[in-house]
Amino acid sequence: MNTKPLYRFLLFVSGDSLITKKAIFNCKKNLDNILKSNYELEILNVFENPKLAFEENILVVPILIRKIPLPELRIIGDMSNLELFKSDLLLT
Amino acid sequence: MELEMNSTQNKISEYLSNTIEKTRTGICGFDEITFGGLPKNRPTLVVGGIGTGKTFMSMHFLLNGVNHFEENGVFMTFEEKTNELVTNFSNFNIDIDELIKKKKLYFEHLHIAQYELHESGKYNIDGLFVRIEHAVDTINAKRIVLDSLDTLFTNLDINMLRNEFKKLFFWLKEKKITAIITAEQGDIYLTRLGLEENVADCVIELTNRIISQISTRRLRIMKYRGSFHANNEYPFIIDNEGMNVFPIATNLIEYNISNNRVSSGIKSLDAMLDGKGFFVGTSVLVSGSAGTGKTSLAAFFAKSNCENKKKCLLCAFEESSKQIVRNMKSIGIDLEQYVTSKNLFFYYARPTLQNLELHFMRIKSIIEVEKPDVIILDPITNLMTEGLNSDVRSMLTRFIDYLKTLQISVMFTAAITLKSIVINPSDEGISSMVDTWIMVEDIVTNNKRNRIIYILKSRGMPHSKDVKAFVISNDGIDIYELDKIENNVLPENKYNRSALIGNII
Repeated sequence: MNTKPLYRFLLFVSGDSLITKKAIFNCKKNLDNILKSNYELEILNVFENPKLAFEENILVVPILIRKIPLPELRIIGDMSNLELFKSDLLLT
Repeated sequence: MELEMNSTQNKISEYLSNTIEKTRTGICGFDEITFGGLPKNRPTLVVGGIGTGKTFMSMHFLLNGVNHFEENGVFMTFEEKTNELVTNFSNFNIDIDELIKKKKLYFEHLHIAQYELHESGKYNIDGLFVRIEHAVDTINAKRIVLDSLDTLFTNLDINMLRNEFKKLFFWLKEKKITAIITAEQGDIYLTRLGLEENVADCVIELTNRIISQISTRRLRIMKYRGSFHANNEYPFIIDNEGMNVFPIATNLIEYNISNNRVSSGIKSLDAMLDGKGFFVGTSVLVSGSAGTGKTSLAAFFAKSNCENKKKCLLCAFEESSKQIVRNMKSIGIDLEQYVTSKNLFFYYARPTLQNLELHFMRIKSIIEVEKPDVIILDPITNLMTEGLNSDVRSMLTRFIDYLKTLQISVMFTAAITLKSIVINPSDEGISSMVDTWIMVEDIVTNNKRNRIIYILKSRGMPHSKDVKAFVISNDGIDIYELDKIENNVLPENKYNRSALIGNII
């Protein structure tokens, strides 16, 4: 069995707001749903990681960045729209 | 009495400027029409179409902050790459790279690459706040520019972002930073995105209009919370000196009025003006049809000032400087020696070369360097072909006001005759800005053209009411009583001159 995850994600959020909670919750739920547990998700607060946010050119949050596999893919929003989420993630 | 008026005026301007705290922009003319500059620690929205000077104005605001007010500035651009911006402003005589190195300026180029962005649900722009905060804290900035928010969020959902903009404005206020946010002008809303003009404390509109093939930039303050402001449209120009707004001088009363006189350069003309000539720092109009000797009169005025070691600036809009020098030799004036002695300066430009504002700004910059005592504009009617007559008049009024505050006497010539005023009554409005109006005409008697001269008005002095004969010869200009003219026949019945004069004054 290959233990290395096929998918790697960064989720940038801001603070501890409702929208942050929603995004984290939806994101995990959707990824579990689509990719099972075959992924790695790192959650980052832009206020606490300004340098990383700067490097990744983050302006709009929440934003989910697919780092692996390439090409890089970015989805913004609270990830509440599963269909969109799914098609974006699988098509590209 | 005069002192009393001055103190009242001072009180008024104090009252006008004391309303809220302001940050001076250092943009020439802008701080005057806003009574002190932009609202301090608050955001200002600058709207305008493409190429109206939004970016330039913002940049000028920042650079002035660094250079003159010791306030560091952040420039966040969403349009141009930062190095492109620096190049664009490199002919500004300021080493922007150096300022960036010294941590006085901070440039950042932000963009959302639209192609890689997918939306799923609600979002906000907290990430932008982090970026701005980082930039502001890095150099301890007091001024910030966000150049065109429209561009940044072009493809994002506007309804969702409207609230975010509001948040941004409030956030900027909390940060205690004076901000300029630029936005494209829209068709339905003021801004293209319907960006909340309600949240901005100050909204400035920039336009660039083409009138008679000549473009003119205009600036207007649409709103300014908690402050008085002038609300007209003001012409402004952008050149390598920066941005200049042309306001009508605001405090007319604060002129120093001089009782000194300056000779017209022609003894017999001085005699018609109370024997002493014009008042220093007033405006003189010499008008008449073609070939009546307007330029010659102006040349005598220039000569007399140069001889008295005064400095004279001659702005020629019709003939080149060399041509004027040559032509004036024919009536016995050698202007060249005054050019050599640095008493006489020429400004020569085709009126069509640029718009009026630019002409006047160029002249203004010469004035600032050379500090002339006298200015001659020959002729202003050539400028009137460029732009609407009313535009020219208001520009001239502003310009003359400016000269008056500097106590510079100005003489301008114009191809306006009594007859042309009847045809084109708008010419008449010129009268209000003229202190002394000299009219020259030529009339035909016995197959010979004779010149006549009279003074239509001359504020503040008893002046001659006579119509006199006026002769230009190789020896110069002389003015006689009319009966010295051959046969003394004036075709007075051709039109009723005195009635026409009565209409004008």
